[in-house]
Amino acid sequence: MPRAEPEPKQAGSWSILVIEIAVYSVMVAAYLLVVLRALRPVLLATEQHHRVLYGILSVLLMLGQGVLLEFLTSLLVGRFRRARRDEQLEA
Amino acid sequence: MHFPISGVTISSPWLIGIGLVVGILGGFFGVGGSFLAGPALYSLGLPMNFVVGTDLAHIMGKSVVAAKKHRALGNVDLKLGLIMVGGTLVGVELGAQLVQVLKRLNLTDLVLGGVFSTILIILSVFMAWESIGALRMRRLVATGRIKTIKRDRVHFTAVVKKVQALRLPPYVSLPASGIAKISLWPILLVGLVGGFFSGLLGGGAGYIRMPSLVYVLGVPTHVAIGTDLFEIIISAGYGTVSHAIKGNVDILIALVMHTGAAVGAQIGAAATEKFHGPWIRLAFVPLPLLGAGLLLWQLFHKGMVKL
Repeated sequence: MPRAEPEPKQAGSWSILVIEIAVYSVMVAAYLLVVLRALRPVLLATEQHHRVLYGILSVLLMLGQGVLLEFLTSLLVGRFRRARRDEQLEA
Repeated sequence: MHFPISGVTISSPWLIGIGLVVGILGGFFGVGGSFLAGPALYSLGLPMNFVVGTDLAHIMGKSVVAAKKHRALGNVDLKLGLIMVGGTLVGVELGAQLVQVLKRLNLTDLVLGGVFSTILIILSVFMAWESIGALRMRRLVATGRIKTIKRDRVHFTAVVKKVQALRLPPYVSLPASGIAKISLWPILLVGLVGGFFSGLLGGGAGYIRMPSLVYVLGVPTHVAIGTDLFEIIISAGYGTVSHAIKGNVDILIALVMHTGAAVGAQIGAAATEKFHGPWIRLAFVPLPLLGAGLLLWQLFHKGMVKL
């Protein structure tokens, strides 16, 4: 039996995925260089003297990082989709 | 990179790499990935009590992104997840308290490593047996030897039927999971057991909760994956605070790991669209075995277990 051609939608979704990875990679580098080094002394002091606050800060930092990365990626993916749609309309 | 909170020095690229791998696997299989992240952190030299607390924090951050993806795909039964929270929180605290007892007795590495390895091996054997059975059933349908099965039917239908027929009020209906009526208590029990292992061994304990949702409550695999991720956010969030108060969390390690895990979770969640239930479960089989192998190797290496 002849094999079916892959759908254009699938190819698009993988391109979006590659862009997401690229955005995350930039975020990783920036995060490690700036944010983490700045946070280290503050978090160490909080862990040693205010454990409850440290626990709450830990949750907030993890949630914040998760939501921020998701937000930035969604924003970029939205722009990418609009650009693709415009390209298709022009063609 | 030196991490002053736990007092260990671990290479950041290693942490990001581990995060990426567990992110992909976790996003795909609907579990937090602690079955690999925990043993990997322990192998890098982090003490077991810090492995538990730090892994909880890392898993929570990662699950936020993955759960959002699954929610968009319609894979989260919010009602089921919220009901389970009651059992989950009690379980997490019980597990965290047990870690404290073990810490006082200086038995954390030996006991937690041993329990974790045993659970992972049992889980692998069980899922292999069940998935192969479910795939055989599909083949019988394909060859016309039996009439038909539901798209995501599991091999454990007898247990599911008994649980769903349990006469113990109050009852709830879970339309998003295709369950017309079920007692509240098995749902809370699944939450309690999952929460206990989350508090005891770290991570979200999706390796317990996800199979329980499928094999005990009868939730379709794709919904179980999404709902489990939602539950992990709750249990890991509470567990992070509880373990941080007890001095078991190095949030800097968790943040570094999460940067890689966030990427992996996106890839893993997208990949679930292309596979069906039994194949996902069968592919899951070698991963807990790998985690168990890593843990046992470290226990032997540190001289805690001798032949």
